[in-house]
Formats: sequence, structure tokens, C-alpha cells
Amino acid sequence: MDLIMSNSVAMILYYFITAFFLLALAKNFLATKSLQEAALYGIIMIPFVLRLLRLK
Amino acid sequence: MTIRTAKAVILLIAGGCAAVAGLLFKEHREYREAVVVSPYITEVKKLSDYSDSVKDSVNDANVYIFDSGVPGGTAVLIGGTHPEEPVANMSAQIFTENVKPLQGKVIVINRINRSASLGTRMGEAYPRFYHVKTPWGTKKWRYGDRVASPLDSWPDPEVYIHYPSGQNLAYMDIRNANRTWPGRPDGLLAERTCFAAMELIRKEKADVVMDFHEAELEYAVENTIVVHEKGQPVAAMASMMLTSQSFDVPIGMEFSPKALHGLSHREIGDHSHAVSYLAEVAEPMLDRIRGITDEELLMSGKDRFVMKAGEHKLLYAPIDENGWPAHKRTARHVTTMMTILQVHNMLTPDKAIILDGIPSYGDLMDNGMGQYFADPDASPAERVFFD
Amino acid sequence: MTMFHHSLLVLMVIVLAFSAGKKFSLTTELSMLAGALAGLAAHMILPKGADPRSPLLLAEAVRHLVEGTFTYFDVCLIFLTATFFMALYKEAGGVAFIVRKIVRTFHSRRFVCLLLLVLVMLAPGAITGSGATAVLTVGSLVGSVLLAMGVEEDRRTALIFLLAAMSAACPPINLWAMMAAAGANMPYVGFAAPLAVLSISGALFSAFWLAGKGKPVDLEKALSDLPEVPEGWNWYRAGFPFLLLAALVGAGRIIPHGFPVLGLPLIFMICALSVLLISPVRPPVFRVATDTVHNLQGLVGIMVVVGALIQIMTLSGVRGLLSLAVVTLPLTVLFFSLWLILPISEGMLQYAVAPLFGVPLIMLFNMKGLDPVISLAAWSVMWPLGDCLPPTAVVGRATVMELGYTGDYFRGFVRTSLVPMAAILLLCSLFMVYSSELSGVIGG
Repeated sequence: MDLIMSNSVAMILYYFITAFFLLALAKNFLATKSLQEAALYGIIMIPFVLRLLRLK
Repeated sequence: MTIRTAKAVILLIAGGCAAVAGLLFKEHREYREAVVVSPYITEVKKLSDYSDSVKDSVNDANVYIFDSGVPGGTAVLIGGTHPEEPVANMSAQIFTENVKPLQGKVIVINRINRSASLGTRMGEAYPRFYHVKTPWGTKKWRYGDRVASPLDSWPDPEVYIHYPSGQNLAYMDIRNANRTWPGRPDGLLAERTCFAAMELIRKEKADVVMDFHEAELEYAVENTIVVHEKGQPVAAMASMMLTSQSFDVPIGMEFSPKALHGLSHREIGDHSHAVSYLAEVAEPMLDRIRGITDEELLMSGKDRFVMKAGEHKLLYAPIDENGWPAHKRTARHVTTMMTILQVHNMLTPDKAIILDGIPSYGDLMDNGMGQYFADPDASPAERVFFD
Repeated sequence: MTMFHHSLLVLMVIVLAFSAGKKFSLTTELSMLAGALAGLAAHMILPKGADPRSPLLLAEAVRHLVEGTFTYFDVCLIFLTATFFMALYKEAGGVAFIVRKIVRTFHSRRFVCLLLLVLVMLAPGAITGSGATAVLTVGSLVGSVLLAMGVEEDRRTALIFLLAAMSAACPPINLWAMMAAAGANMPYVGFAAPLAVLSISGALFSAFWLAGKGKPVDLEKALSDLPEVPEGWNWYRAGFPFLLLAALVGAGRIIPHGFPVLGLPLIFMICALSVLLISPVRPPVFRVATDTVHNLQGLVGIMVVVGALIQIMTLSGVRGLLSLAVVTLPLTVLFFSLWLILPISEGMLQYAVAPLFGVPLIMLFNMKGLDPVISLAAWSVMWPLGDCLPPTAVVGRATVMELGYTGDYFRGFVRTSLVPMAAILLLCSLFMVYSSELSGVIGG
């Protein structure tokens, strides 16, 4: 595998990492009983979602 | 309100914000900038025609070639290295839309780091677009970042080790098209882009390369021509001529530092036969001490906080209530390039590059820039391209 | 009303909204968000001075807020992945194994043990440039050893924080210096020696001041206080993930142009995967991930919100106003106040202070004939000391969280850190004042 391909694979893996932690964030958002925690999770999830959608 | 309802409201608000912002990001990323090339265009190539390293990538820029057919030298003009410096690509585009080559060849890239123009710099509160009034309406460009978008080049290393010097640079500079010269064919996007541009410079046997930039007034390398040592006589004479004949604020000349790697003025000169120049002009929008950040500041170059810093003698360029308007900054770049060519032609007549059709400093100062950009809707389709 | 008044009023609105949020028991993160929202509203409503301004539509205002949340996205990924890796390792029993071995081997040699701990703490931050990463990867491990050495809680927490701060400052990677140098278009060259001198002396002074003296370790008692290690652990298994980490980071340095760019988050995830392969027990992966996210929500949340706040401050001219205020101070005043301004601003804005204050300061110092490399190195060691200060207190909070600190944050942990902190700040101030003289000695 050449370097350009390896770097592309690394980039794709970053989307998997983002998705993995977004999933964990979403699970905690659903599980929490604290309103403030839920609000914070809601904000934290925004960049994860937009990066995953390749919008920013 | 139950926690479930509250969570639904939170999701609605956060999702709504993400959706609105997402749509604006998308509009910015997908906006196509129209370029109406001058009638004297010979050929429009892609950067990938010179190297496969950028093939199918977002940085496979248009390469506009204007060949007079009369033997002479070749000049390469590079705009858009840092898309947060808009005058750089507008100056290049003044050439693309107006040039008539009489001797030699001129090659223009309006947007060398296109990826960096597809998103604005995080934390800097930049506007997404900027506009110039023209006789036929308003022309619009994407405002951008200093470095390529992480959507096109992700991740960064912990530290960027420059090729081939081995010099350590800040991690994000691996996406900075003025820290990745001379590039490498299998590196990250900006490295590959610079490699392809180096191949262009070498294959086209360029004699002169100009990289247009803008700089904050707090920065010492300001209103100047930075030149590879090969170009000392030309740059020195050009700076004297410009200061004495055209510009109200003098333009300096300085050598490219030998120990500072990755920059166009150093590496292009070191790795090709061409003489490399980089022109800087004052842009108050880039100062960290600027006040309100908006398109008005970008285009008018007027800022009271920057003026205050000037009163404390903290700046390397003068500024008053007239600011540094975009048309003046463009006029300086365009005239600097034309003067460099004039001196180059005097010193190396066998490699002369004679261009016509380019507005003078006075023309741009009197008429503004809008006059010199054509209406893409009213122009023949074969002359309209998109950057 | 001038633009100066506009920006000052927006700043006041931000501070008021933040204070109101805290008063109404909102968390620091949400109070900051309230500050950002109120500041944005004030910017949209208040007159902006005599000069013409571009209109700001509501949708664009929302875009600014959201765009700001991305500013530290990669830093957040580093926090999450580094913590996830270490949490998996801890869950599998690796941390307990290593701590037991260190205590057993070095319990009678305090000096050597402390030097080893300083080295262990400095390495991750020096490589990544992040104090939080140092705390999140090895903080609890080193904390456990310090506990076994009889270092009491306040001192232990203070030491972990100070070592983490010095590890972030330690070369080769100092993000403040790199970001400020990049902003000033200076190469990141010549910083290694001054950064090493300042950060390593700071770390050693902190270690011996806070943990140099103590009761001899009661080996049996110390071992009985430590968690049991699952069957099957040995040095090969315990060392493998860290060797892999060192190898992957090292490969990027040794053959940078022949090795793919992995970036720290992916490297940590690969190491996390290796824990699953070598561990004799199978840790619950997704539960560890959700626990990691839960533990880090404050840390990641503050980075996301600070990004949005800075974007609004920049939009409204508040950032410029603060920068201008600092660089227009007389030089002698700066010499006597930067030791306070820099850590406090770090507590407020995190890494964003490097371009905010660092770049104009470099320009200023350069203009005044001081050595910008030595000066920037000195500031870059002062900045991380502010990472225990509110509102962000990123490394301080991470330390408290990792060590399960039960004392009073300010009267216990921060107060205990003050003496070593003051010594480091004094040394850095001297480097700054005598930067021109020192540049010949340590090559700035």
C-alpha cells in the first residue's frame, strides 16, 4: 500500500473514531438524568455530527 | 417538564443550530467561483497535467496559460496560497481576465490551495464570502482559511517535519501551502499540491514565479518583496521604482532567509531554475488586535483598534482612517508584478515577458477593481471557467 | 458610541451572563455558553461605532457559534482517545500490575523513584504537547505510586498537576510556542534548549519540594492498599501497548516521509486495540467508552464551548480589545505582570491564548530588541501553569478527576501548588527579562 493510500485509510479511520465517540455521547445523552448534562452532551455532539457529515 | 421532554427540546435546538450552520457550510464549500479568461487564453490545463500527485483531489487547480507565441521568458503567478488573504487571488484573477501577452508566456493559478478556500478559519469569525461591485452587478468570492480544510487533509501529525530539510514546524502547517514547498509526491494534500506546482514550474521552464500574499500590520515582513537571492537586482530596482514612482507607502525588498524552509520564495528558487518572489501587502483583517470582524473590515481595511496600535508604534505599516482598501492592496500587487517584469525584461531581454491589458496602479485606484472582472453570464461559455 | 465602547460593553455582557449562570448553579461550561450567547446578542443589538459595518444575519450568527465549537475538535479527540486507551488498560489490570512492580522495586529508593516518576510524567506531554494527555494516560498510575510513597493527598495532586503542566511545556512539542511561532511566521526552531531548561528544572523542583521528604514506605501496607492484579499479567503484556505507542510516535519522527501520518487519536486507538489483544481478561469496550465520555464531558465540553466563546469574542472585537490592552502596556509593566496575565488568560481561553497574546507579544518584543525565541519559550512554560485556574481549569480538573481528589480545590490542591508555581514563574520571568543575554548561551 503506497503512502497516499495509507494516509487516505488513516483519514477514513478518523471518521470511524468520530462515529464511535458520537455513539458513546448519544448513549450518555439518553441515559443521563441531569438536565445540565444533557444540554452539554447536546452541544458536544454538534461538531461530531457535522464532521461525520463532512460539512465542516 | 419531564427530562424526556427537556432532552427532546435540547435535541431540537442543537439539531436546528447544526442544520442551519451545516447548510451555510455546505453552501460555502460548494460555491463555484466564475472566472472569465481573457480572449488571449491559449490553454487551460489542470495541475494534475503536470503531476499525478493531485489527480482527483480538491486541489487539482485550473492552470491558465497565455502564450504570445513570441519567444521570450515564462512567468508563473500564484494566487490563493492563503485564502484568508483575498487580494492574492483577486490580483491573480486580474491577470487571468485581462492579460494580453505580447512576448513570452504567462501562467496563472488563481487558487493554488483550493481546499483552504472551502471553509473559514475556526475561531476567527470570518465572513464566508466577500463581494466586489462591478458595472454588471456584484462579484462574489469564497473567503477562506490559511490552511487546507481537515475535510481534505486529516489528521495532522504531532509535529510537521518539512521535506526535505527536516525542519520542525507547527503541526497545522502541513496543510499550509506556503510551508510545504517544494513538496513531495506522496505526502499530504498541501505537500502534493506544492510538488505538482514545482513540476509545473520545472516543466514550463519558468523564469519568474510570483506568490501573492497579505500580512497583518503587526508582522515585520510587510509591504515588501521577499526574493530568493537570485532575484536581488530585479527586486531591488523594482522596489525603488515602485516607491519613487507609484506607491504612497513604500515597498521594501528583503532576502528569503536561508534557514526558513517550506516557503515559496526559498524553495522554488532552490529547486528550479526560476527566480521566486513573494509580495506582501498590509491587511488589517489579519491582525489579532483587530476590532469587529466582518466583510467591511476585510474590504475597507479600516480598523480603529489597529490604528490605536499604530499610535503606540506597534505596527510595521502605517494606517489611518482611510485604511487599506482591497482595491489599493490589489493595485499594489498587480503593479509590483508588472514592475518586476519590466526590470526583468531590461536585465534579461532574451527572456522578456511583455504583457498588455493589465490596469495600471492609477487605473485600479481611480476605477476600483470591478471594472476589470467580466460578467460570466454575458461572456461566451468557452471563456468561463470555475475555480 | 465607538467600536471601543461596543466591544467593552459586549465583554461586560459576557462576564455578567457568565456570573449569572454560575449564580443560578449552572455548570462552568453552560455558564460560558450563556456568556457566548449573551455576547452574541449584545453584539447584534448594540451600535457598533461610527464606521460602516456589514449586516449580521441570524443564520450567520448561528453559523459563528457552531463554527467556534470546532476550534479544538482535534484536541478533544486526543483527550477522548488517550483516556479511552488508559481506561481500557486500567480496566484490564495493567495499571495495577505496573504500580505494584514499581512500589516493590523502588520502595526503599525514594530519590530514584521520584526521578523515574518525573520521567514517566514528562514523556507523554512532551510528545503530545498536552498536559491533559499526560494526566489522563499516566496520572493515576503515578498518583498511585506517590500514594504508596506516603505523599499526602494535596501534595500528590499538586505534583501530578505541576508535572503535567511541565510535560506540556517540555520539548519537543510545546503547542503554545508552536502556535504563536506559526502565527508570527517564525520557524519552530531554537526552542528546545530554553524550553527543556525551564520545564525540566520546574518539574524537578516541584517533585522534590512536594514529595522529596516522606515516611519510609511500609511495603506490605502499600501493597495491600493497591488493587489486585488479574492472573496472567507480566512485563511483556504490560509493556506492549506503551512500546507500541512509542514505536508509532517514534516512527513518525524517525521516518517522517516514509511512514503514514497517523495522528495521536488514531495512535491511541491502535494502542487501545492492542490492550484488547494482550489483556488476559476482556474489558467491556463500549462501557469503557461511555464511561470515558462521561468522565470527560466537562473537559471536552469546556473546549467545545470555549471555542464558541472565542469566535463570538473575535466577531465582536472583544478579543482585539483584550489583545490591544496587553500589548499597549509599557514593557516594564509587562515584565512584572506577565507572570500573572499569562496563567490567568490560559485559565480563561486555553491554547487560544498563544495566538491571542503570543503573536502580538512576539512582535512587540522583537521590536523592542528582546530575543523572541527565549521570551516565547519562557511564556510557553508560564501558560500551562494556568491550566488549574477557572473557568476552564482543564488539567487541574483532569488531575482531580483521575486521582479521585477529595480535598478543597483551591484551599487544598491549588494552594499547595503555589510555591513551586512561583519558583517556575520567577525563573521564566528572569529568562524573559534577560532573553537577549541568554540567547547567546542557550541558542535562542
